[in-house]
Amino acid sequence: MKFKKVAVSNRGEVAVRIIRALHEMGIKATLLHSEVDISSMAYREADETVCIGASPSSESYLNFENVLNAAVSSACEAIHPGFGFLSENADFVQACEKRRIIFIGPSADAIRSMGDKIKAKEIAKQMSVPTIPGYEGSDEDLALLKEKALEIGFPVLVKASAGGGGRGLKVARSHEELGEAVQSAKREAQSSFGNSRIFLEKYFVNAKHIEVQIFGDKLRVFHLGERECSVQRRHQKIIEESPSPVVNSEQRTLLGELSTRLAKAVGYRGAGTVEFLFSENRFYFMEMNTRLQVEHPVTEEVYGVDLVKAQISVAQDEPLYWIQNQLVPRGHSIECRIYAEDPYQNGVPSVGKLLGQRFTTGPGRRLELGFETGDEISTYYDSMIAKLIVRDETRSSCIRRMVESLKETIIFGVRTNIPLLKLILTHENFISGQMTTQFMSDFFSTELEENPPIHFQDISKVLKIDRIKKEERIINPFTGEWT
Amino acid sequence: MRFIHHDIEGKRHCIWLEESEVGFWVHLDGQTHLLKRQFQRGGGTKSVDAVLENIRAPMPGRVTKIMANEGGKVLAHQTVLVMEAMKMEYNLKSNVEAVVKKLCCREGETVTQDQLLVEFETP
Repeated sequence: MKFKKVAVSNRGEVAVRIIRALHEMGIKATLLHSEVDISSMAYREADETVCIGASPSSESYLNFENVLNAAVSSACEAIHPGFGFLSENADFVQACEKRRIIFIGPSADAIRSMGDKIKAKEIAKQMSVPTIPGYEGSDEDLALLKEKALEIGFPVLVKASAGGGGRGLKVARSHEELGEAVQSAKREAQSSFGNSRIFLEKYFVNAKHIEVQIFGDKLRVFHLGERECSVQRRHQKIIEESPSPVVNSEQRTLLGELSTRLAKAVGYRGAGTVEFLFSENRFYFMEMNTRLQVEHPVTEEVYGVDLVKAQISVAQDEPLYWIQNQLVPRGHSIECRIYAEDPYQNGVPSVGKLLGQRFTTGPGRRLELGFETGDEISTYYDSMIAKLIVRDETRSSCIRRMVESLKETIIFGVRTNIPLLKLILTHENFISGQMTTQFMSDFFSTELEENPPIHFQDISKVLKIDRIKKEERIINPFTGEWT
Repeated sequence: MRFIHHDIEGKRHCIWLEESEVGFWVHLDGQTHLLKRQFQRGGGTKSVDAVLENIRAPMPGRVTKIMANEGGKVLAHQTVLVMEAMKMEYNLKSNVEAVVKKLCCREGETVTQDQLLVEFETP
């Protein structure tokens, strides 16, 4: 069964990614978008567009009725949810089934099993996948929790069972902090997910975040190796890479084995990611994400596959032509997420109209872009505006290529985190490959100092920004010199 | 967006630029900068250490903590207030030493983008 028309219910660079994949497969793409996302590349690339509501996500991208009505009324046979929003919402998957629209992703049951972190952990234990020591009982009496926390050993992480995306997580470093951490995690869990159930886990302070890409078709589950995503701030990933600099081929085979075992246990179809923490030379299952992830391109680059087209194929009930023993990584790939934020003001989001852009070209560079000159960057959603992915033969040459590519990248109109990215990529702890999830808080916890552009006086002369009016002058905000 | 070539101390630079209401966006030597326009009343000739700007909300959100008093002095890069938006916390600062003229918001208040939050005395 081949689709003729698929609805894309997402935004930004991933919506463009999906639309392109559909077009390459000869399928028409209908973009379901919010009001403000008329100002975006996806809106221009789609064959058809349907506005599903006002800009706040709850009124558009998260609104089942609006999304399904739009997909049905535009005669779409399937819907691709992208990531975030409704991509891991089992109720939405069932609503799609009811309306006879194919959801491109795993089943509602698989999503439900893995979406509940406590249940996911139970399944992992049953499948002999090593898990993080913790307490998952339903008795949340504080005295009992304190006892369990002592057994686990501080510091301890209080986690929301229905959580995700780094929310509903609080660290308790001691006995005294536990009560407050539990209350705070429960409050956040209730407001973000409508479910205040929590559990405890040992908090590994110096661990690496290593995740495995799995993919199920109607016959098998494949694994496409690991990605490392240790460079993250407030649980938001900034730089990801494949392969991980510390994983050797035996470990890769082991991780692949564990991950596919877990995926098979829930009859998984489509793209999924099994997240592990790597600490003191051991891997511990953390959680499973039942969707395509933002950082999927680095896997595509080193494994030579197209995961989005694979998702569409699997949804069309076609088997994949991949052969597991041929899925081995070649070379190295790094992705940098470009956020519209001010790196000199602690990452405060930067809003405005894109006034100009110029991107790097040449070998081994790939750009996933959501917005073009003239588009407005707003604050209704997260501030990621593009992803730059680079591949090369070795990790060190890949890092150098990324730094050069970032230097060539020009974005005018909003501030971006590019200066921060360059500093991270040239930091010895990153270059050595030893970085852990503590990397950003260890080395980039204070604000960046803005470096004045060299020879400012010359530039201003060249730009002829002398006194334009009596009251208006250009001054160098760093040196305070008038022109 | 246009570019110009310019020699600085014998070395050739290619500078990309785009003018906007806020100032000039420039890109050279692999770095992007915004050279802001500043309006200075009175046209005085004394130089000013960096730009004094009132604090405005960079995006819609909620003021969670105010850490300065009216009439009080704040140091350069000292956090003046804390705002919460999109589930993250942001410390808003003054980039120069200044005296607070008026606190235009309250702790707990929801604010809109660009809303004036703290007004400083003009130097």
